[in-house]
Amino acid sequence: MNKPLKCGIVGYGYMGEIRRAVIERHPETMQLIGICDTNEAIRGKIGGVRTFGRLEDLLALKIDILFVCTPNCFSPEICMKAMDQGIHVFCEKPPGRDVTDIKNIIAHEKQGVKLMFGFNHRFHPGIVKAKVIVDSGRFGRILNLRGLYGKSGGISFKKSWRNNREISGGGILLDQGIHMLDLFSHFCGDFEDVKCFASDDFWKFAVEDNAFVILQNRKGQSASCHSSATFWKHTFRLDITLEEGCMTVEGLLSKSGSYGREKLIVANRQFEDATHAVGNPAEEVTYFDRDLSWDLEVEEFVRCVIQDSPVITSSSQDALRVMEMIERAYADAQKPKSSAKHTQKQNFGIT
Amino acid sequence: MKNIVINDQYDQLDLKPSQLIERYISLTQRDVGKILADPAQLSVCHCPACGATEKQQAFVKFSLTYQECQHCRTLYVSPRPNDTMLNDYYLKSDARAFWCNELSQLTDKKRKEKVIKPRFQWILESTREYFPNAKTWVDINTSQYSYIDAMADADIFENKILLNPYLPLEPQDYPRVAIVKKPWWEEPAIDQVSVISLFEVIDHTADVGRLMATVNAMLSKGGLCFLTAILSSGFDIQTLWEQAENLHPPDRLNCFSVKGLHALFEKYGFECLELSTPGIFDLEFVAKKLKEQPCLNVPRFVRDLIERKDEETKRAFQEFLQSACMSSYGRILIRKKG
Repeated sequence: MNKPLKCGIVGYGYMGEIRRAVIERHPETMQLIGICDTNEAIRGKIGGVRTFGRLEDLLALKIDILFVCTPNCFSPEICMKAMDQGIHVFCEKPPGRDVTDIKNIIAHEKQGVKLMFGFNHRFHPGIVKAKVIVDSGRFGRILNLRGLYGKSGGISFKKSWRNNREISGGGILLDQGIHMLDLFSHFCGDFEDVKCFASDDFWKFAVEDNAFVILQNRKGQSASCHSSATFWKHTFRLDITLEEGCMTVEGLLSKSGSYGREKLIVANRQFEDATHAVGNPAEEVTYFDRDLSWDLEVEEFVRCVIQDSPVITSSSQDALRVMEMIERAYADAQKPKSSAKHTQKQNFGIT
Repeated sequence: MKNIVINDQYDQLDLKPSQLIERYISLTQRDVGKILADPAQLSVCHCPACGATEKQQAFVKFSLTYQECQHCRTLYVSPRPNDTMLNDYYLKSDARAFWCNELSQLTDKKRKEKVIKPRFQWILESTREYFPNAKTWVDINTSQYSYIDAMADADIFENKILLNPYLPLEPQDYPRVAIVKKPWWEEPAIDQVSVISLFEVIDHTADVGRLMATVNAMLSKGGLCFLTAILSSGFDIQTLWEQAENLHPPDRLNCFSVKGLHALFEKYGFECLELSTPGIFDLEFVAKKLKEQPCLNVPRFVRDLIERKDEETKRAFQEFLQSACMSSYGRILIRKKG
């Protein structure tokens, strides 16, 4: 049996802790040998593993995999530095602040060095099951998608680096809405046409707290996404309409449980059968009670590393595709809109 | 673990017309008396689910005694016939012949649409999800020809095997399905199986532990087993108890509780991926019984629900039973641990 891959984590906030737990749940394939965080107070609270204040010292341990869990503005440079040293990289989303960042990362990809991004929603059980059904062809082609993804912010929301444009590069769309747009891409591929309305009406940050994005691709598939930091009731909902049926993934297994019980609702198109209520087809609802997404995505990455096979899900190309969609959305949001007097002062786009 | 809720609208009479069911039950009672009821041939057993010895007599049906496990609340017949006797029963019984040749044929169209199609979709989609490289599917003891048709059409499997000594089948009847006319306990030389289906088989198996051990041995690592069963923890069984029409020997020699099933799977090396109770007839079964026996002793709440509430409320109640895993029809997916 092969020795476990030596792993390091850079950035030990919320995501760093999650990645550590995943590594430690897979002792047969991974071994955590060091954590780097520039914050001394955070380092002081880490037990059971060596800690470093400088990335170079962690990389000097000749690790196989680096988990990059830093704020958006730092991720690209760290990814590039690690890959230059032949270290496989698993990086949290978003892949930097803008398209330039992800393009720079891609330029440093090397043959045999794996790079994957943390689009863990692809591995949520409701999404996995929905993808199996779509790929089976049971309901025919996808006609359109509709996504709602929102949170309420909270007491510490104002202080979060996520709302500092210099660090994050964008607001709720780049932070949370990116998952929904990535899922659109996961189900339908690229969306070339992107329109967007964005606003910062409530939180008054320099980044958007609401974005309404409408998309269409060359196959004629349409999608809409409302990404919000003013959903006082936390919401995740993805509707998938196909030729012969429809599906809804609603709720999301999460640490807090605030998005509700994750479920997949599946219904056959039934309007031919006049004996049943038209537009109210029989439904099958699957409830899920275990979120394995964090484990599954890392297991997939480790499999690619061990087998030296290409990363085909949550790859750098997937990351580029979704960042291009977001960039188009931000660019469109900046265009003057006749109906909204205040949109003219907004600057949600990438400068 | 998953839990499925199905919101569909059809009547139990579509699948189980009253007159045919009454005839089937009456034939079963007669056959049990003729073939299975000799006390000298019956053996006392412990709970087939959790193995607990503590039990309490629940009721007697067709001269066989149902016990209730005091640990997991599974209902089971003890003393009971063994699997060889049951095999003999299912080969000779007029009731079984009536089920296969008349009842299931007469309700075939609706069964195909409402039972078989969703069941096969469940198998195909779950296999794609959990075992995408599946090659071999073995079905044990299906009692309906329509299953075999659907099995033959399941192209994601290279090999399809029917392990069934009961149906009068010849290999040429289903060229795309290999037919092995042996009971499962004769341990046919089948291994490295990806998927096994056991539709209502654990309900009428005497030695369930041996069945689960056999299934485990047949499956490859990570192999899947799809089961359906009637559950003692379901609403209609709990409400009607010995009056429950669908609870009788030998078809329901075992009536497992959800807790009991978890214990059984754990004991024989399986991980439970899905345990759902997507039944849609619980309330309807109780309502039917109340109509037949207006003085039947049921909780006031249940009587009020059935006699005074509108259809929408009843549907919502049945959906609640499903989402809380409290319906009596269970559908389960387990995976062999690695």
